[in-house]
Amino acid sequence: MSHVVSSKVRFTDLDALEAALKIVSGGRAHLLRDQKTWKWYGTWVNDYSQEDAAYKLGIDPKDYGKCDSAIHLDGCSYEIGLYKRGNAYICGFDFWGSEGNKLRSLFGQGLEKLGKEYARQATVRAAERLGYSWTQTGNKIVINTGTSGNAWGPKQQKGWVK
Amino acid sequence: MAQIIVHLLDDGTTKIEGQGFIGKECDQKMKPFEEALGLGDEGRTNSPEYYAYVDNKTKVKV
Repeated sequence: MSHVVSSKVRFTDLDALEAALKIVSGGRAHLLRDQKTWKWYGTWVNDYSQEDAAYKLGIDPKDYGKCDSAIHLDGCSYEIGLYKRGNAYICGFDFWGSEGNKLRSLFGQGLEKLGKEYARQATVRAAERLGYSWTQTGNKIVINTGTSGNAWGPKQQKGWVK
Repeated sequence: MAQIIVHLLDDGTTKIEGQGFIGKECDQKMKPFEEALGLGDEGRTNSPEYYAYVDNKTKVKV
């Protein structure tokens, strides 16, 4: 069976993704940067067409098994492929059977657990890179960027500007 | 104090909002976070403050 799906999750900061993988998997999942293939059932037999089917979300079936980077989980013979689309990476993986289930049970049905931790890591890293303070309460991260009202350059601050 | 608030949603996606910004400073400050989170411009809604004008005494006209 070749049940290859994608998800709404997008990655742009691979360092943040690496950190998220470590936290979500307890060190069992690894980002394999620039690995050009990912492991799956191996043959597309056109037997999955739900809304999350990878071919409906921007991955051509002829590219199943190919990728720009990959995620490997220790003890799992299937992997997750990362496809570069503009500035972001989207994911493709085969969820079928016991191997696919290992990926889903750890990262979420649609990789939502990984996506959530990635978002936390990417947000905090961006805030710290810019020198902003931040706090997290539950699922909300608040970043303090300082006082507003000085958005335009000195020339533009004279009089009314658009 | 201007703030950016990132909501981590259970489906693995995010919602991001700017509070306390005047005018298009919001774009400038939020861009690094939108890029880090892989968000595009689609789905963005701007509050009335986004369209505000500012003079050199920080007088605001909405």
